[in-house]
Amino acid sequence: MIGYVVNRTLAAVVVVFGVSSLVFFMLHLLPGDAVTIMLSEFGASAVEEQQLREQLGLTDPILVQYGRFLANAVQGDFGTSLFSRRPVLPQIFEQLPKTLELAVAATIVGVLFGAFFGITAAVMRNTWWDSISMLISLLALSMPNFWLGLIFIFVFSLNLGWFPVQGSDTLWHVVLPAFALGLSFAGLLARLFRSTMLEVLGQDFVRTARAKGVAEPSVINRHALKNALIPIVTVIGINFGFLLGGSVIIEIVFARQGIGNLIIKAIFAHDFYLVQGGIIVTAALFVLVNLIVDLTYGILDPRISYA
Amino acid sequence: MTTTPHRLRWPVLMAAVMLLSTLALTLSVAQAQSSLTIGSRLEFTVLDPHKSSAAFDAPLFFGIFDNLIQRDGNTGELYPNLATSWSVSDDGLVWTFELRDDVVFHDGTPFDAEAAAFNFERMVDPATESQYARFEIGPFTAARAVGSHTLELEFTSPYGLLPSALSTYGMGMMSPTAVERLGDEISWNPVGTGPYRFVSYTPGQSVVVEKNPDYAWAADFQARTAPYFDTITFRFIEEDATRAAALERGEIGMALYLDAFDWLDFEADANFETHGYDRLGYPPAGLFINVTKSPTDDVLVRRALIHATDSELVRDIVFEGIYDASGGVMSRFSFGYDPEAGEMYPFDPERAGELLDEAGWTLNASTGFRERNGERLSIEYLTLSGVANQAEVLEAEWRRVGIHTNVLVQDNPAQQGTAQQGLHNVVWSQWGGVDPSALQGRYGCENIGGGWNFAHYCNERVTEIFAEARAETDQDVRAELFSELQHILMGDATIVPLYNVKILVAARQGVDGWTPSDATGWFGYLLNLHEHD
Amino acid sequence: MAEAASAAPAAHRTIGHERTPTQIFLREFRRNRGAVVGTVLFAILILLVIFAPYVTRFDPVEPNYAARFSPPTAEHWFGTDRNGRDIFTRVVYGGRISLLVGVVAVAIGSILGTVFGLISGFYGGVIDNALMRFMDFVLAMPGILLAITIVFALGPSLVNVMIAVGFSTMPQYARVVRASVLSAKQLPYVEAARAAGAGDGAVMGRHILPNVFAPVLVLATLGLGSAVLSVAALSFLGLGAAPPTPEWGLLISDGRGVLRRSWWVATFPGLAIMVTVLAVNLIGDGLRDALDPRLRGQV
Repeated sequence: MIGYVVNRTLAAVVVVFGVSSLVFFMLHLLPGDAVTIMLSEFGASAVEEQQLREQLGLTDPILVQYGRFLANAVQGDFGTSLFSRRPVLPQIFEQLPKTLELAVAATIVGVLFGAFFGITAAVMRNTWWDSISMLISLLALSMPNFWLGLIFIFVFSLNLGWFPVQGSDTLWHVVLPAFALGLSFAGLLARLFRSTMLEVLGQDFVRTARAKGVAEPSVINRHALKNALIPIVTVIGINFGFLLGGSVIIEIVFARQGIGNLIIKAIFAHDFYLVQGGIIVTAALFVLVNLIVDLTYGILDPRISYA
Repeated sequence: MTTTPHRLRWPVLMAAVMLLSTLALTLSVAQAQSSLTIGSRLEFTVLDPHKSSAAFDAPLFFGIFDNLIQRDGNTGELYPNLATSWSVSDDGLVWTFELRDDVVFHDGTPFDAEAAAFNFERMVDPATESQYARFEIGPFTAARAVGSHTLELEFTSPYGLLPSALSTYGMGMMSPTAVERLGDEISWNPVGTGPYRFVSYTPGQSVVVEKNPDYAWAADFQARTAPYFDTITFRFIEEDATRAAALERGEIGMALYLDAFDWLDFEADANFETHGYDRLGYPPAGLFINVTKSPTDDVLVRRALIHATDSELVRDIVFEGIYDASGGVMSRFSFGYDPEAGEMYPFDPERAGELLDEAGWTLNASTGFRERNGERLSIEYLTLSGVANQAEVLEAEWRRVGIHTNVLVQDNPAQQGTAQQGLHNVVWSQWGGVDPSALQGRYGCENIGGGWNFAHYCNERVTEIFAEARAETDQDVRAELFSELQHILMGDATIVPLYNVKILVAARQGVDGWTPSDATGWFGYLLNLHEHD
Repeated sequence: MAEAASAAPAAHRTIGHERTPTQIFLREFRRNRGAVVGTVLFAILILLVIFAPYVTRFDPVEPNYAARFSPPTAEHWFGTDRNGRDIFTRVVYGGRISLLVGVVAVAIGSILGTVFGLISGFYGGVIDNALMRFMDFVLAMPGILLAITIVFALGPSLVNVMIAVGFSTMPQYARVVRASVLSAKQLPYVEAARAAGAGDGAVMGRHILPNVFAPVLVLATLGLGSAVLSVAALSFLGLGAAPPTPEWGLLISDGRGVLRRSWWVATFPGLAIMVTVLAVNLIGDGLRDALDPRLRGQV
């Protein structure tokens, strides 16, 4: 078990390192650098720009900059934002809770709605309800989440006045973004819940339970559902990364605080170190969630052991 | 096992609902205090005027800090603020300031000549990594306290623009004891002498300031002598439409930098107050024309482009008729504006066609576009995403005289990179400066390639004019120099002038006291904000 | 899948007598009500887009300032935008761009992914390891974030959006293809072909590639839906199409600025995306069930 965790963790570190290198070099392909935007307001001279560039270490060869980044990163120093001049990590960790709040809320929306539509569809297989709920699921899956966010703002904020149009101060603020982000996830989960439930319901031990006269709700709850959970937990794990990505655009639509908003602004501003740090943290988080998912199998399915 | 969770669920849910509604209630009660939430477009880059390079940080700086000199954004006049008077030595190298002796910083530190000198030394200290202040202060070398409230600033060459420079957002006076005590943290916990004190900063979200009850040293031109609101919160909402929606829904009390038609909605609504003012001294927004890239390396094509541009249409469609359509390389509100140069190219598509014919670009009736030796007349139009709508309007206008347009949307700093390389024919830009000499950043030969000379324009006489205007102190002579400058730059058709930016603000009914701040014209002095019935 | 769309109605009613795999496939596909609906929807969309100039009499980019901000009317079915352009027209013409960009992005992703997956699965060892680690790097970043970074690095344009979306979806194909190759390698006739001295290229092309065709086709069809969504997202962020191009994501972005007063500007392009992705997903589901039901859990 411990060996497995160590192995997975090491693999995760390699992945995170690879991602950050990929991003570092990609960002350095761009024309222009952060200095030009810093001095954009008052028309600085070329000489002044060059001074600032040297001061910020942007004139060094790219490999030197990369080496410096790596050496510092190993010591837990991810550099300083070129704009705010603040260390990168605290800036990211300040924003992280709001993104996690959104991702978790969206996951809840996804799981609740996905389970409801998926399980009822499976139980009432081949009825009109099955068709309707699968159509709804597919519709949810087919909508652009940023567009759904705008429609929600128009209907529920601007016209009905039920929810705020922007911000992330309270739990009230997370409702619309969570639905905008979580509904497509719910569509995906509903389909998955349905198909795994059907598969499990067709398996021997469920038939046996039924034959033994166990009541139908209990068959579903106790036998079928638990076994259907394994692929579903996997999908929730994988899709957590998807939700982190989706939160980027949803955070922008709802003017929410969050790491997605931070990274996008940093990308647009060529704030290399901030982008780097943000992506490393996002990737690490993604890998971590998947690690947890892997370990959860053991709890759900005693047949799996970590030799 | 199957029933207990069901029983548990309802109480939990109800508790959650109650908690949420209590939270919502508490929030709505808190709104009823003497407070104001201002929706601003961009997050403040840093809460330290000496480090900041972003003029949109100005409203915060003019709330927390005072300057030695302040500018009345309405008239452009300079007034004493923390300095009571100033003079310059005959050789123009040493400036002497008499300072107020009744001023205290928010942390209780008295303001004196030592404190002021400390601030100027800090601006130019490489460790400060200043991105604006140290350039704005020009050829500064040293600051000395020569009396308890007498300050001397020394320069390596005469710097006639100093009083004006001192009134800009980067020149706020910070508490030296706070700087020593907080180290780098000072940049996120600012301590000044201004009408509002810093309370808190939530990254990506907001900055809160509170009333400074001791404030009694407002400059003469200010409408108020003491701050009105108990607290003011700056809330960052990047999207213009979202900011407008938040104001409409009462989530914020005031929205800065609104889109023109949202602003018009608020103007028509009795529940809101609106205000708009021109960015004083700010040259217009327009398209710099690259004089080195074909086809705009031909002055005839450049002139045709300006004639083919209906800046009044841009004003009417993009800015709902609110902005001021502009003709010249400087706005008509700027010092030294020459109307003759500004009105050199009236909108005249026919004239544009004649010029293009003369340049050899003839109309191909089957495509509707002009061609020369089989090559299509095509313009690379580089723009920022926020102003891309203007490109749509102009693309359609230019198409009418046979010009094809390729729009490339890039945001900063990528846009600057592309423009520096000269890959564009025209590039949207808006720029500022206290004095027309700021045009050097845009037309100085040294700023081609690395700087901001996006027209890639270099002219010997223009270079001379910049040098002469910098040394000259007689304003009439300077005005003449700038007039000549405008004639040259417009004669060579280096820019398609579009409009002068107007700052559009709206707030809930009763909130008043808007004033533009320094010469960059961004939303200004928090001191004057107040609420009436 | 365009092929499937046109072929389906032409097939004979030979239920019970079919022999070829194609006939089995067609029967399965036609039995799936969703797939048929999806095919019809998609066919309508394609027709609308191809015959755009005959569907609408307005121009997609020419401003008509006299008709600014018109709500949906008999004249302008979907209303008009800030420049007075007809939204219906812009949505229809926008379909050309959005669909083309989506298809090319999928082509890039599936071809790259198939090539890498083939090589990885066929040769194994160090090459396999290196390629799959690289795929892990790409997968560790949320796809849209990776795409944003790539587009930003290459410069915003529709071509670069295709590359970015293609690149960020590549690992999915590579993994599925690799898995198929690994199982195909075990097949007796493949082993026989290798034993008979067939070259790597011949074995891969003739014996292994056909085995990966079905999963790649299913993935690609379902991938088209998500590609259309990603392309729209990138354009919405200002990284894709440049104005006045009527790309769907850009149309929604236009509508965002005027949402408070003119809801129709953002609403209809979004509906167009939804219908398109829905149609593609229905077809994809049908293809998967008909071609390779084992993929159900995977894609």
